[in-house]
This record gives sequence, structure tokens and C-alpha cells, in this order.
Amino acid sequence: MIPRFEYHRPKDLSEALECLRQMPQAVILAGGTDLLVKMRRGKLRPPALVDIKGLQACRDICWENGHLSVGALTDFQQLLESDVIRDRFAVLHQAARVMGCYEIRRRATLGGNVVNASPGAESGSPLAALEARVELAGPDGRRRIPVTEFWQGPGRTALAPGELLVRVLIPELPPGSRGIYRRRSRVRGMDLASMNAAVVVLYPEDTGRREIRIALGAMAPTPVRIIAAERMLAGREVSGELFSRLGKEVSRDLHPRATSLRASPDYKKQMAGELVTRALEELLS
Amino acid sequence: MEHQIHIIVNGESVTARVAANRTLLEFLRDELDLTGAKEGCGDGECGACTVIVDGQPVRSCLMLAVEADGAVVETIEGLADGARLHPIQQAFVEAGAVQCGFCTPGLVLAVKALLDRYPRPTEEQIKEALGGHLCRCTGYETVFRAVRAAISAAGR
Repeated sequence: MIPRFEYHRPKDLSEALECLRQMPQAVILAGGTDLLVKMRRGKLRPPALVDIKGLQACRDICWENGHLSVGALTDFQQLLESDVIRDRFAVLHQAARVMGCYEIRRRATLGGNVVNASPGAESGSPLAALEARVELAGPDGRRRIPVTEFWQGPGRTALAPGELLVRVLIPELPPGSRGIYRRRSRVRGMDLASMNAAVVVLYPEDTGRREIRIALGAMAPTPVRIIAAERMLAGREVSGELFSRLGKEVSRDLHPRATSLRASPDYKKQMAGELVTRALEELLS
Repeated sequence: MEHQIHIIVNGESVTARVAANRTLLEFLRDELDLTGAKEGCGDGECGACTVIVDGQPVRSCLMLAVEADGAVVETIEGLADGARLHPIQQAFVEAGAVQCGFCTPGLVLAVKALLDRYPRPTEEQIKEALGGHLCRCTGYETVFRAVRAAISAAGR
């Protein structure tokens, strides 16, 4: 039994913001695949839920001023079936493929996955590597911040009281860019990732211009970019010697928590280096 | 706080007042006596509570009854035509894909929703559609045999 709460279903964004203004303790309900589980287990006891599934402002995937705008209510099956995500942002497409199962992908939303701020969220490292921004709407209008600033810790975000996430904006990548998402889990079937890695390469064919972005999930309190390793690789011929150093460099400054549920810190650190190295070998071959 | 909902369940119109914290699964089982959908894990992991909502398979333990307002819901009870089993149910029986039966309503409905989307699914599509359904008895092979049999029966 889920503890009692009030339920509101606003018809549009302004109604939703008004709900949040009147009930600052209310929690947003989108797909509910994480929220309702937490509520049933008593980990969250919101006095009210604001169901935003009626908000047109949070739907649709479209290009806008050099960004792909992905509505917060876009579900993971939509991400998986989107041609533009598959063709232009393969790293996110691959993450959608391994998220949950069909029924969960049909309900779970990108916005919910971002707002939950789980360190190992499936969309976390891909969005970090894609340098995505989130657009928040609140009582004072809208603001945009990088997703890596939005996440502040496990389950903690920069969302201010009365704000809601409207959409995720992913900057367009130069043609020919490539990306790979890799994860490890305890079983090969439906399971949360023990850790995950997203690698994106811009201008893969042009060593001088090449930009490599590496992001890891479930290695730190939030998904993180690995800037030191990126700098080591930038604009250089990536050869055997560099590859052999990369593995250690990737996780050098990371300290996965010892109480991790799904893998030991040592395993995570070794595997992070391994996944990133293999992904890069594949991306640059 | 209670909310009035109006849904179509197995072709019948239902109007009811529900508490906000009632899941669709609880509503179907406790209010409508449709006990085919089961609560296995209550976390969305096992698939035993799957019903079809507006054409899509849904974990009814992770959906509030009030969220289903205005929806068309299909449960296992609505599949058979009187004493005549639905072809998917018949295929499950003939393939021996039913043992303890706890997962069966969810599996059958996931297959129905799949075949409604893709009448001739690939092996990959079948695996994807059933990936979130746990069965501790059959080892899944007979389930796949049942699905293939249902597909060819529909093709005849």
C-alpha cells in the first residue's frame, strides 16, 4: 500500500507551476517507475503529487537553434525509436536500449531519470558527455543550466522549490561524430548498471581537431566528466602507449563508495578504465 | 482525497471513486474482482501485474488507478470469448507454457500487446517484449514456442 497523498493533474505548465507554488512540498509525477517504488517502500512521503503527463510543453523532440530539444516527458522507448537520437546521438540511443524492459521504457521518462539524479542513471553519463543542458521553469520564468551542474549529489539537484524540468537540450554535434555507451551489471538481463561509461568523439578522422569526451556513471556522487583523461587524449595520435595509460588515468581521481550495492570500488575503477579504453578503440578504428 | 475515474475495462464502462494512493492493480483486483493480474514484486521488476492500457503493456503496480482515468484497459479476464480461449492462451496451454501460472496473465498480455503492434514479430522483438517477465517454472523455452505457435496460428 502506498501511503496517502493528494493528487493533482494540471492541464498545462502555468497550472503546474501554480500547483507547485501552492504546495512547495509536492513532488512531480511523470512515469512513476522510480517515484512510486520509493513511496511504497516509505523512502519518500510527499504530501502531494503533481502529475505532469498532461503538459504539452514537456513533450516532443525537435531541433531548435542548434540544439535537439527533448521534452522531459519523452519516454525511453521514444528515445529508442527516434531516428534523430539513433543517427545523431548514438550514445543516448544505446543507453535507452539497455534501460529496464519494454514496459518500463514505455513509462520511464528522460526528465524523471535526470531529476532522480541517481549516480548510475542510464541517461546520466550520455547526457554529461553530450554536454546537455536542462531547461527549468519556475515562478521567475525559465533558466538553463548544464546537466552536470544540475546534479549535486545522489538524489539532489539544483531544482529550486516551485521549479520543474521542462526539457533537455542537447547541442548538435559536428557530422561524423561518434559515441558509445557501455555498462556493467550483475546479470545480463534487466538490472541497474553497476557502473557505466559514455564516450563521444568529435571529428574522429581529424587528429588535430579531434575532441574526446568521457563520462562515467555510478563512480561518484553524480555522473562525471573525466577531464584529465580527455586532455591527455586531445589532439593526439591515440596509440598503444597512450591506450595503456588511459585505463589508470580514467579512474585515478575517483573514489567509488565502499558501500556500493552492486560492485566493489576496485572493480569499478578497473572496469571504468577497461570500458573507456575499449570504447575508444572501437570509436577510433 | 478521492477522485472519480472513468475507464473501459475489457469493453465495459466503469465509473468509480478511487483514493489517489490506490494502484491500478489494487483497483482491478480489489474493486473489480479481476484477480488475474498478480502482485509479484511490487517494484516493476517481475511483470506479473502487467495489463494492457491504451494498447500498451503496463506494470499496473506502478500506475495509479487515477492515472488510468479515460483509458481503455485490457486484463486477462477479457481475452477469452466465453469458453473459447484466445489463440494466445490456447497456444500457451498447448505448448505447456503454463505451470504454476503466476506469471502467465502478464506474459499472455505482453504477447498480445506485441502481436497487436507487430503481427509477425522477429525473434529479437519477441525477446524484447518478454524481457521484463520473470517465470520461475518454464525456463522460458515453452513460452517462446507458444508465441511462435500463436503467430503461425494467426497467419493461417
